Amino acid sequence: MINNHLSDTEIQQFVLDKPSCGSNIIDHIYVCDSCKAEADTYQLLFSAIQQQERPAFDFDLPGLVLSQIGQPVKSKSSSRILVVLFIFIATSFISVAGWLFRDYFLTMFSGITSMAIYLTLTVAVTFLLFQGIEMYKKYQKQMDALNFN
Amino acid sequence: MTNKTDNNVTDQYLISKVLSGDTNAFGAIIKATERLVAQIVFKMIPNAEDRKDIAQDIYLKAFNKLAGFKCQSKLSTWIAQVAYNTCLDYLAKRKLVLPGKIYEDSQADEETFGSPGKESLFTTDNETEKVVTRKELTGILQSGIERLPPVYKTLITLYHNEELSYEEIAQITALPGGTVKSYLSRARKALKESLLLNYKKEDL
Repeated sequence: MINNHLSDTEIQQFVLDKPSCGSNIIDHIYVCDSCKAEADTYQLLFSAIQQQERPAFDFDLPGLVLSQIGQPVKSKSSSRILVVLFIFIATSFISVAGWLFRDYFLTMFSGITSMAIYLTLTVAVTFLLFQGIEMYKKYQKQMDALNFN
Repeated sequence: MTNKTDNNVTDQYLISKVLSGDTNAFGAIIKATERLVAQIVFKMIPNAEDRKDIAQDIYLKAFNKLAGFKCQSKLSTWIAQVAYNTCLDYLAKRKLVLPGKIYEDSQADEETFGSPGKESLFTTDNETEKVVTRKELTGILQSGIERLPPVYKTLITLYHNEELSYEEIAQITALPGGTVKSYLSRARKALKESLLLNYKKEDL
């Protein structure tokens, strides 16, 4: 049998799911007035929570939602065909453009000094770095918002 | 088990009807899940005026994403998940998630009124005079629940009112099962302490 008082988690487990409790917990509660009193309080609390009035929307939710749904949901297979079709059209467009302007693309960077290219790359990398840091900070902030410790 | 299978068959039937263009079938889905969604929205959203827009937003999102639902969980659990995430987005946008507020308040209360200690509402000298009436208890409990952070309120409601399992709650909230149990335990403890503190205040 446990000689120290039970934790709140153990007492809650006793009240909510007695069969899952070990005999040491059950034996302790039967002989300890303090923990028995705690268990009684939790019992009262749980029964009061269950008897609380259930909230309900005071408007016609199905009516409101259905009035905003004009088109039926497209099935997944048809939307997948659309995605494939879009990818095909986009790829074809880029390929044709690349073929037509191939001479221009080949000479595009020839007139630019290596200094200008390094400068552009440095700016791009710095920009991406700041974006990454910002994303990480935002993620940390969201995780902190969920942490109630 | 049979009930679970029946639910799954009904869910699949309703989903196939909606996907084939029967919007009335979606009305049936709304009616079947409205109560659960209301529980989540009322617990998560403090502003009553925003609840109407959020409730509609939840079902419009569910309608648009229905084709992607794989029936790996109950439809009601999935819609509850959409509801929970929509409410969480709302809270994040308005910075309304207040981490640990209940505990700061509890500590302040304890300093003023003393720790509730290991006492019960039943262990008083004159029980008939001091045992709180059901009405008082409901009022104290209501204010205690209101003081909880939105996520804790929702967990308490889903477990104790909707009688969902830890696994279902974990699916809805996307929290690990252990975290759900831990948060629930803390929320119950906070409610119990709130109950005992209010009871002691009345005694003073």
